[in-house]
This record gives sequence, C-alpha cells and structure tokens, in this order.
Amino acid sequence: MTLRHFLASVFLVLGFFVSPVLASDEPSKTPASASEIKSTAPEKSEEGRENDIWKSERKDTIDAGKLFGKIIQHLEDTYELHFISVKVPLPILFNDGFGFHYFSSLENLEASADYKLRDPVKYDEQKKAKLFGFVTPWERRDGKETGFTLDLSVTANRFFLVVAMVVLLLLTSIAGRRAKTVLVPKGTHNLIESLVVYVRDEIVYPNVEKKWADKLMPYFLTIFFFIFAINLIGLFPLTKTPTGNLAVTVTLAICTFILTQIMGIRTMGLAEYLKHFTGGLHSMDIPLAMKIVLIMIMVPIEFIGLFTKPFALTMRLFANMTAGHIVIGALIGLALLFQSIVAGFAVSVPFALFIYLLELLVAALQAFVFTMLSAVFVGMMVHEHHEEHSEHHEADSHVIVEVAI
Amino acid sequence: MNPSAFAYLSAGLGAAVAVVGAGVGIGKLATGALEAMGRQPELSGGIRTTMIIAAALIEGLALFALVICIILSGK
Repeated sequence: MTLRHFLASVFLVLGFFVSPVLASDEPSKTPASASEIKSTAPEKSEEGRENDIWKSERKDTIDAGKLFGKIIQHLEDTYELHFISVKVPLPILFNDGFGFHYFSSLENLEASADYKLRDPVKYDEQKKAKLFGFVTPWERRDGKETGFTLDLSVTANRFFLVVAMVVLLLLTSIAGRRAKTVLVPKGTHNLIESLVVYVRDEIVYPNVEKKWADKLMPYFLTIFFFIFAINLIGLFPLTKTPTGNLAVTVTLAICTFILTQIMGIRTMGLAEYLKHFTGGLHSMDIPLAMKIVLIMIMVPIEFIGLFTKPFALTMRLFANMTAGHIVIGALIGLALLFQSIVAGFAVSVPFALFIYLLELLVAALQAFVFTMLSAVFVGMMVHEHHEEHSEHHEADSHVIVEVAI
Repeated sequence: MNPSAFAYLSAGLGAAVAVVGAGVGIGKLATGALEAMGRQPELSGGIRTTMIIAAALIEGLALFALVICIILSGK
C-alpha cells in the first residue's frame, strides 16, 4: 500500500515538474468548442481578426486550414478551464530568474507590475520556432530575459490529472475497504477487483518472473489505472485529455524507463548490467578480434535501443489520444465546412459517434498496451539474468519476450 | 506556389505512406494470428496477447511518422 501511495505521488510531482505548458496563444479568447465557434464567429469576422476561421470578405465560407488550426488549439493546454462560455481561471505559479511568482489568474498577471502577456502574433511565431512550442505566454514588462522558467501553474491538463487521481483514490479506497470484509465482490469493489485481477493475470504474471511480479504489481496497477482514468476523463465533453499532452506521456515513460534500469541493475548487478549492452556477445565463443568488432557495432545499437523504447511508449500514447480527438474535431468541423444541417446529421453526428465509441476502446487498449509493454521491458531485464542460472522458463513469457525484441 | 503548400503536401503524402505500411504490417500480423488460432484454438489467449504487443510495436512506428507529419503541417 505504501509503495502504491508513493508511486502515485511520484507521478503527480513529476507530472507537475516535467510538463512545461503548452499554452494557447489567446488564453482569454479561445473558443471552448466547435459549437461556440459557430455561434460567436459572425461577430468576430466583422472585427476582421486574422486568426478567425471565417473569411472576412464572405461570411458563409470557412478556411479549412484555420478550422484545423482551431482543432489543434483546442487540444492544447490552457491556463483556465473552459465550460462552453464559462471560463474558470486557474492559479498561475512559476519560478524564473526573478524568483517565485504567484497570480490567481491571467488577468491578474496582465494587471501586475512585472509581467504582461505576450503579443499573440509574436507568441505564435515564437512557439513555431520551438519544436513543441514550450514558450510561456507571459514576458517581463521591462523586456529582460527570464532564463529558465519552471512553470508550476495549475493548468487545465494538471487540473484533470488531479481529478483523475482523486477519482482513483476514492474508488480504490472504497474497494480496498470492502475487500477486507466482504468475500464476494459487488459494485465498485467488483469493478476494481476485476481490473486488478486482469492486470495481474493477463499482463504481469505472463511477462514478469513470479518472484518480482508480486513486488512490482503496485507499479503496473498504478500506471494502468492512471492512464485508463485519464483517457476516460478526456472522453467526457468539455474536458482535456492530459495523455494528449507530450509532457504527461513522457513522464509516464520515464517512470517505466527508470524502473526497467533499476530492475536490470538489481537483478544482474552493475557489471552484468553493463555487459548486456553487448547483446550477449561477451559470452559467445568467437574469435577475439571478431568479438571486439561486433561489440563495437552492438553497443551503440543497444544503447540507442535503450531510449527508443520509452520514446515509442511516449509517442504511442500521445499520438493515439491526440489522433482520436483530432478526428472527432474534424468530423464536427465538416458540418461547419459544408454549412449544412443535413451534412451535420448525416455525416458529422454518426461518424463522430462511431469514432467516439472507438475512442472508448482505444482508451482501454492504450492503458493495456502501455502496461503490457512496461511489463515486457521489465520482464526482459529480469529474464536476462534468470536465463544464466536456470533453464526453467514459462513457455508463455519466452514467446512474448522473443516477439518484443 | 506558396512554399508552405509543399509542407502540407509532404505531410499528407508522408501520412499516407506511413499508414499504408502500417496497414500492410498489421494485416499480415492479423492473418498469421488468425491462422494460428484456427489451427490451435487452445493457444488463442497467448496468441492474442502476443499479437497485440506486435501490433502496438508496428503502430508505434506508424505513429512516429504521423507525428512528424503533424509537426510538418504545423510549420
């Protein structure tokens, strides 16, 4: 229990620290949904705003590229919660070269003496200049360089991370309390227990050696429930998907990466752990000169392989969750593009509903895949050590390890 | 022609090629898995798990390409 609590808090803390925020360029003006674009757009087009999806000369046509931009913008993190037309400001906390700052909302930041919001057009350019757009939406009024900014603001994504955590803590504590007294599971207890048993029997036991499987169960359960809960929260209307943010998925993958390496060092010892970078060549019976050449080739490959695994984990979860939301947004956007109610009901609604149901499957599948691959990676590390000392393998785990390599 | 048009074009073409590759890969994988399950239904549980892992790895490659395309289209 304590380990699980520890891991949950580690996720939270890392999630806060690692995620530099992807902020939207006009935090106070971004429409919350496609429906709002439609309802508010005509007035905006009269103002002739550059960023508007409605072309200023003709009010009945839409620029598809700008519509796509709006969909992408909708997926980005914001410093306030949008509920259609209601905006709930979230606190802004950050630490930069000038010390620690706290503002209760973006408006308060704009009103402060030291900081102001960036000019939207310049901010867009600055974001495009960086690969993932990690630029703070504010700058010093005196124009000084702020240096490294540690952004600890409670953004929309972080808010929903905390929501996921609270929901999970409630559900698991209810289930945990019932499990002590009741033998036959029912209700919440049944829901959680069936998932826990599934993770244990289908994911962890076939991949990780039994000796370590029970010790590592809390970690796998934590990532499974955490990712599953976040993915599902993202499917509620008017919410954000924190797993659709690279920072969150990077953090999760780093956790798995660290665990894998620690398990490797613990089971093999440091010397054996370093030797496994030769891909098993060090113990092969081949001429020494050939061995050295092969090792020189193998070590860089194995070393790159070390980092492609967490990178693949990161990208898979991020891209899956983002792609689904973009597709739903694009399908809803079709109704706006065709300017027709018939198209809306004949194309947008049924297709968006279909993708939405598919997303429900993907939400569960990605949690499963992430946990499964984490278990496989950890299992490989534990397994390599195991291989040298005994010949007893479970047929199951062997096949899976072979495939994963 | 606007230079950014080429970025959009290459992003679209890149996404298409990546998806074709992944589609062929996952299709072959599913064929193999279904045949194996048909021959030995008692092993279908293990085969399904292995299939999902392999599918996830193939999908991961396709998603790398798609992310590059998205970044390209954002430029």
